[in-house]
Amino acid sequence: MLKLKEVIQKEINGTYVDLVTRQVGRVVFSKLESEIKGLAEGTVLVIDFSGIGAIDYSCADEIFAKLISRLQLNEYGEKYIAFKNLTSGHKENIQIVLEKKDLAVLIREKNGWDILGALDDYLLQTLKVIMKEGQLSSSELSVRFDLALNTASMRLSNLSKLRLVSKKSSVNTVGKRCFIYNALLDTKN
Amino acid sequence: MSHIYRLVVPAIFNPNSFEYFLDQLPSPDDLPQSLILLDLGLVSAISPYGIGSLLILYRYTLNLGARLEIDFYDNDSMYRRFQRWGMFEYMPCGYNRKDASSAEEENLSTDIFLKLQLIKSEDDIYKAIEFLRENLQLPQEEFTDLIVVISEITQNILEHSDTEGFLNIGREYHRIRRRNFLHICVADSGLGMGQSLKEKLRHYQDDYLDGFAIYKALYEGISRYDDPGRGNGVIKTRGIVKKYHGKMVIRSGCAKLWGDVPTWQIERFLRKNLRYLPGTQVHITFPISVSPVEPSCALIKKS
Repeated sequence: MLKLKEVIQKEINGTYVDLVTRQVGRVVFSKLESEIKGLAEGTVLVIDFSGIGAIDYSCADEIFAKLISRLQLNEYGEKYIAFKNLTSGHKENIQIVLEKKDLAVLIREKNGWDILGALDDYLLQTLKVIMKEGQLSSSELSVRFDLALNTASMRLSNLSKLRLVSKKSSVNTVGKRCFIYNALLDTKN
Repeated sequence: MSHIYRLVVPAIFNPNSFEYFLDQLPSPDDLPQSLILLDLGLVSAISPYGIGSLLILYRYTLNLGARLEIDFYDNDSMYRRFQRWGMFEYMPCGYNRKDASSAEEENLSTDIFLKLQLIKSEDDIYKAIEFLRENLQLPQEEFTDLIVVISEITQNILEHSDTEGFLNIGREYHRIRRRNFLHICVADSGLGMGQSLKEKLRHYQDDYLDGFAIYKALYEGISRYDDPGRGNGVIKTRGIVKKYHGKMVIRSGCAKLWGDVPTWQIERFLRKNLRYLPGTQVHITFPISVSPVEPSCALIKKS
């Protein structure tokens, strides 16, 4: 877990609590980027927003839109990010910048989870199942939604490309190689 | 010195009266070597927009080779107000004033909250935000919205004007409406929105460029940068001002636009072919919910 407030205060100024201006965004982005690059493959970096004051659109664009789009372009390998402890103001401003660039990120809420940004309905439905069950294979999804196996597989693969679920290789009951898709956050605790 | 021009500043100097004032300015061809006398003798109220715009006018006329002086006459209250805004620091021009008898207590409804702050780097924006954090007790959501407004508008100076600019904030308790307001002015003497967006709006005639540039930025989020993440700030600022039932006026080059207005009636609120003033000047009236009602923004009594 990474506390955003500590990043600002360490990298910029010991008293700052706001994420405003593009310049501050660039400094914070490069710190987050180096953190995420240093993580082991398959790790989820949870970014904690507690103690953060205002976040403006420019700064949100410079940090989160850039980070998530690079993550999705596989520039950092199989790594994942999620957010927690956001205020309604944080959510509103980050939502706007992610939506504009067709990006999405998972956030932990007090009573579960939510998505910030843009996500197609059919992917959201699939994600809901994974978040509830903890993990899912394409054959299980195919049965649950009565989908062709390749359609189910495509949905899960898309969610994985968006870095909203993690993917692990496995062997099924008939000895064939398959992928298991896992929830990034354990929302049961 | 070839000519002396006397520009009378209106008694109430704000975004509404500014154009009457600027119409008195001689044409740029007549400015070199001339003396501009700003007559502040009758001014009883000057808004942050008035202060910011005078500063831009000072820089503009100076660049054109004119000299500017201020005539306060016996308007000592205005002289002191200029001092408290920090005007003489950034506008080191000559001024005339008669010795006023004992200083009258200022009786203006608007008071200085944040004096002129030079914006030349992001650190200056942070300084202003820290000042607000220390001096303004507002509900969290309202405060963060206010910070976003100030941060987004002042950043435009650094991102688009190619020069430095100014931020100043006045504070008002409106006795009839029983409400507190912040009057925020962000002004620069840089490129202006028309020139900044010229490439994007190359199909518009020059006469319309400034007006359309303001409109496109304010209502459609157009930016000189192609990244889709750009241009959100101005649109969202308009949204926040609207959310708090505030008011926003943008003047750039030769045009001025009031936001938020119905887009189908935009021509009524967009003024074109005004007298040229370089850069962009934004004035935002932002109602704030300071309690108790009898304001903490009461006039600062002179010691």
